[in-house]
Amino acid sequence: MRKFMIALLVLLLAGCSSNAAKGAQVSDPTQVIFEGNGKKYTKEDLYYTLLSYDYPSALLYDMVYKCAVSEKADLSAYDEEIDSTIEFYKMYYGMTDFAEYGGEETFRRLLAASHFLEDKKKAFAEADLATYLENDVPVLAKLAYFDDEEAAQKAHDMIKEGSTFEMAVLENGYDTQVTETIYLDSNETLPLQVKEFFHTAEAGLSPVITSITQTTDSSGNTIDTARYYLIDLISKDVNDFKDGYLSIKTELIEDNDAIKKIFADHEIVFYDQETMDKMKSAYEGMFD
Amino acid sequence: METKELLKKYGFVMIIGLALLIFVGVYIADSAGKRETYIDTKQVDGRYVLYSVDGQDYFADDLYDTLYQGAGSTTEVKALGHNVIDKAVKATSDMEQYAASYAAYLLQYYDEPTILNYLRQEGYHSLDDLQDMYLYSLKQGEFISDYYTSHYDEYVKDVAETEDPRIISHILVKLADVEETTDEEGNTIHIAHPTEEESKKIEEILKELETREFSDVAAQYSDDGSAANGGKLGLVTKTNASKYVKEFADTSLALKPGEMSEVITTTYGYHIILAEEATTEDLLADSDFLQQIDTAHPEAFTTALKEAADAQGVKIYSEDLLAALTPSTTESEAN
Repeated sequence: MRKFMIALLVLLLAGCSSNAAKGAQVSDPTQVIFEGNGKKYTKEDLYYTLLSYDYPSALLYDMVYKCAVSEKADLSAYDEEIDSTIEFYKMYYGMTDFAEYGGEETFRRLLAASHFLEDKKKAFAEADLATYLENDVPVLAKLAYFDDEEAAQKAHDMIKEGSTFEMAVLENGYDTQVTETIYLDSNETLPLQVKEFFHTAEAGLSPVITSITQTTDSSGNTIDTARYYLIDLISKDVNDFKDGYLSIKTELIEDNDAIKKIFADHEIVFYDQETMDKMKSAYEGMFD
Repeated sequence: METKELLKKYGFVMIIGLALLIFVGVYIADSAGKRETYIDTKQVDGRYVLYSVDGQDYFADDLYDTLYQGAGSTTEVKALGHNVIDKAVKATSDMEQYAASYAAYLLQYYDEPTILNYLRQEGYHSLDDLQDMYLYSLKQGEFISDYYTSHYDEYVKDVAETEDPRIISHILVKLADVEETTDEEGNTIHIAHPTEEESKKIEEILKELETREFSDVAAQYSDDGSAANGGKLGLVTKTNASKYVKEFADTSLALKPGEMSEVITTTYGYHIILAEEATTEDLLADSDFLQQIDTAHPEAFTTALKEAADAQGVKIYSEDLLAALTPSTTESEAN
């Protein structure tokens, strides 16, 4: 009798395990898309079809969001900006339910992930400041070049008479773009002679014209075109322009490089081959 | 040994064996029904974990909404289509044969990753499903064709009135020398310079047509591949006529059903064209015409699907899916 009781218990357990394997995943009715003809189609069932379309970036940014959650980052700090973005989309794109983004909540998560990523990039740039300074040797200066001396001189005179550097260049120069933060060592387009000027000159003096008839590029090639550089060297102390400098460095960090750094600080384990294959093929090296 | 004694002696072993069989059976059935590719599969409360971040598990249903932006409602409509159409349309042996040969053709000419990705986008998982996928597309064609037949006035009539369809057959006598020139209005025209033998052939055909069926004469005399089919080319409409050379298209559309043309000359030679009434069956067997109906009535498929789903008692919970199956007010008004 006792043997039969044990046997029946085993039989019962086998039956229970079959029920658990078959139906537990649809216990939440919100996960069922539809049911008919003896089948339930759940979000889990259709996830793999959606995965086959090429939108891995949505999953990637969702992972960033999950890292932020894991870090207990203050995501509510982005609420105000997210609200205004949502309003913008509603007003200018006529979106109401954000269905194309998987609903407003999903869209908000995506936006929060983007803001979190931007903050991380800033933090990465700040952490690398010493290395950047070593490679760049940045100076804060206004620089424009002219092809003829007379135009350079006219611009110089205008500045002396009270005009802004930008206005003087705009009215007389061919190069109307005024560069402010200049990297010396890592700049590949700046002629060696101009770099040399920045290294030796004193900051805070009046603008000067540096005429160069023969320039040498970073590869050592000599260029015979005569150019006249109008230069206003404002500061050589990075503390005077640190925020602007870091914001340039932040912008230069690629999203995927920053995401890779974020992921390196977290333990991400794939349990699903298809999801892993999709992500690894879309983002080579990201999950190594 | 009697049964009672056998049971007494081996009953315990049999029950344990039976339990193990059920367990193994359930395991195999479950693995077969589920995905086969999991790496270190992890389940929590019966839900499959896709990945974890710092020990926190994330599931497929969590990520469904995240991926929804790509092809969300389309995917849901497709899944509903499979469920409803598979029941509504029974596969014929012809369909099965055709699906099998088409699957074999695809496997021969396309690489496996391309086919596999296509299969996945259609809701299938392995190359073994290729035949099923194509069989389903045939069923889907049958499903919509049946729907159009039973809703002719709503979906087919207006397109048929606009497109003026007819079934066209022809007899071709190829000519070695056809001169291309322009008429007074600058239109390209073709002038025949037949040999004696070619002239004799067209005369003979015209004489035969006085007493014999067009299809018989076409089968005997036409130099075109359509001869094997009694000269029948199929459905010609205002839209698809342009796939034929101009003189042929113009003449085909100018004929009334039942009328036969005089001999016309195109770059290929002499043609005699016969126009016949196109039946509803002819219209709905023509993929171009079906495409024209789809263009004119983009909501037709989802409307048909919703009606069939309702008839089958399918319960739809997703609001997005319901919205995708409901024609928008603008479309309804427009139609």
